[in-house]
Amino acid sequence: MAIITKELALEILKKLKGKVERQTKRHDIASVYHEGKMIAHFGIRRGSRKDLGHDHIPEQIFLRPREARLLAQCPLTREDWIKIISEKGKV
Amino acid sequence: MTQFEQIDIIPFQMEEEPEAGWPQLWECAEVTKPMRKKLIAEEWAEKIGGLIETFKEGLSERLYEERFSFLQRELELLKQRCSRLEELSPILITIQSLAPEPYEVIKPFHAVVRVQDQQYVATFFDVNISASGDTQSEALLNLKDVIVGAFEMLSMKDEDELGPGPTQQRQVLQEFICRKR
Repeated sequence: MAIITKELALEILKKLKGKVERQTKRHDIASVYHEGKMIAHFGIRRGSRKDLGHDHIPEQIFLRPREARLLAQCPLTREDWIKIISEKGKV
Repeated sequence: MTQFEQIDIIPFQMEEEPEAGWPQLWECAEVTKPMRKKLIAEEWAEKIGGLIETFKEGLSERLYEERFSFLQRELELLKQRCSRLEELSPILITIQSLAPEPYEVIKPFHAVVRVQDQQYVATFFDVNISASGDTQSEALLNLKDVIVGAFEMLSMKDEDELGPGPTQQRQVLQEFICRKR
């Protein structure tokens, strides 16, 4: 079982206030903006299975898998995330 | 003490020389009861040696079989662990084509595919783009798909729309891929 499922990936997208900008054959490419600039993007796999693995997302949003899961499951907010990635020089 | 009880300890004692004038065993028409007991005990003493030998042989055969099956089990476990390690170890794949996408590779690049929680994650580390799949090949196909999608998306953006990460990604991607003419 993947750490980040499609269900959680969609939660992350919602939480980060991201938007799907492009669609490919296999993915919806979602991007996240901060102060008018794109700071991260990741692919969300096409398919109806809720348990589709999206374990590639944590590294694309500069988080550890456990942190990404927390982001999806509530305790971590978008502001917390911005703070974390600012410290990493990604903003 | 009865005579019968005395006889029981005879096999464990050194045999005394018969007194002179006493008949030898083979000379007796009828072997007395105590003497018959002594004979049986002697036969047993001989037989027990053989039995111990047989038991020892059986035991060593059994031990050998036990050791052999133990080694077989250990070998099987090692084989399983080796194949599991082979599955878990990341593999490096050189991407030379983005087919069927209408893009070509200017400079081949490496993708790393690794197992993560029963899923495969393929990553192009130079640009920090990854994709997941249920199999290695699916993860790779997904990676190619995401690379192309990200490249198209980033190419359409103005410089001031991109943060530091995406700006660098676009620059690096331009070194590796371009749209087919």
